[in-house]
Amino acid sequence: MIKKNSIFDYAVHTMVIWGISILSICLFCALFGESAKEMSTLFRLGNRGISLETLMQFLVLAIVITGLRWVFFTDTLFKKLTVLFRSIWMLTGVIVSVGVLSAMWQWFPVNQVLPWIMFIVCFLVCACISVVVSMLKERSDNRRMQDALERLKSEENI
Amino acid sequence: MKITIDIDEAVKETEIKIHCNQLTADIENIIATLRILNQQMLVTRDGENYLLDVNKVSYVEALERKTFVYTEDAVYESKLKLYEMEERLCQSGFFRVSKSCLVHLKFIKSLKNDIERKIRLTMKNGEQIMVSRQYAEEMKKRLGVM
Repeated sequence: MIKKNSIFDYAVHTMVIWGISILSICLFCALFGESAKEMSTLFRLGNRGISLETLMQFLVLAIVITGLRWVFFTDTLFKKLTVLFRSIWMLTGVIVSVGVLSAMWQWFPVNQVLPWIMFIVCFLVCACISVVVSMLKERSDNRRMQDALERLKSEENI
Repeated sequence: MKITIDIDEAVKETEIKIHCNQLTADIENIIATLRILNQQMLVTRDGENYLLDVNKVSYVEALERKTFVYTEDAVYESKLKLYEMEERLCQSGFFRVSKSCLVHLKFIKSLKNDIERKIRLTMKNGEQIMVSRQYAEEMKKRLGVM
């Protein structure tokens, strides 16, 4: 019997997203922290690290993303939505959430056009890579299952 | 109920005869079981009884305490419960895909992973059936992909 996702499963998922985001920010901080500290509140401490405030802001983002995943990647609210539309809605939800939080907490200069373009481009590139990788994995899993089905049919002579 | 088994080496074909004063639900159940052992099932449609070849059944579904038997072009009703069907049909290529559905592997055209570790089955007639998370794991084991 498979257990249903509990609040702890969602907490673990949130922590994973949070951990990966913080590791990425740490890397950027070490590489570009000093040059970016005037432009973004994320790097206000330069290459010395990230502030407690930023850590908490990313925790909020991780909770929002886990929430969006619950909305679009479980059938609690949307039962008949196809995987493609779930992915599109999820992607849109994440872009809007990150955009709103960026503007709220001044992660980059929101009154300039270039940072917004850079944000959208970076996000879309990352999202495309992630979608392509998951699509390839899914396609290979499906092919493996389809081959196994055909094999089982011939083995059991049905 | 009295059960008599008469073993005679001279008998060419096994015969089961039921002596009763009327056809009760229990007897109908026994007949249905025997029919399935014989690769046939007793089903009804529009008040008429039919003997359906098990190989023509694509899936069986329990809905509102009734058991429906689907072929590629018709729907019948059976007196057997879904778990009784499962016991009798699991050796004939049928597989439980959810609490309320048994599917004949022969009629599955393709299968794809879906959200929450479920599997979406596309049947030969284009119908789609979802394998619940619980049974998706078992299905993968049976397919040998886990």
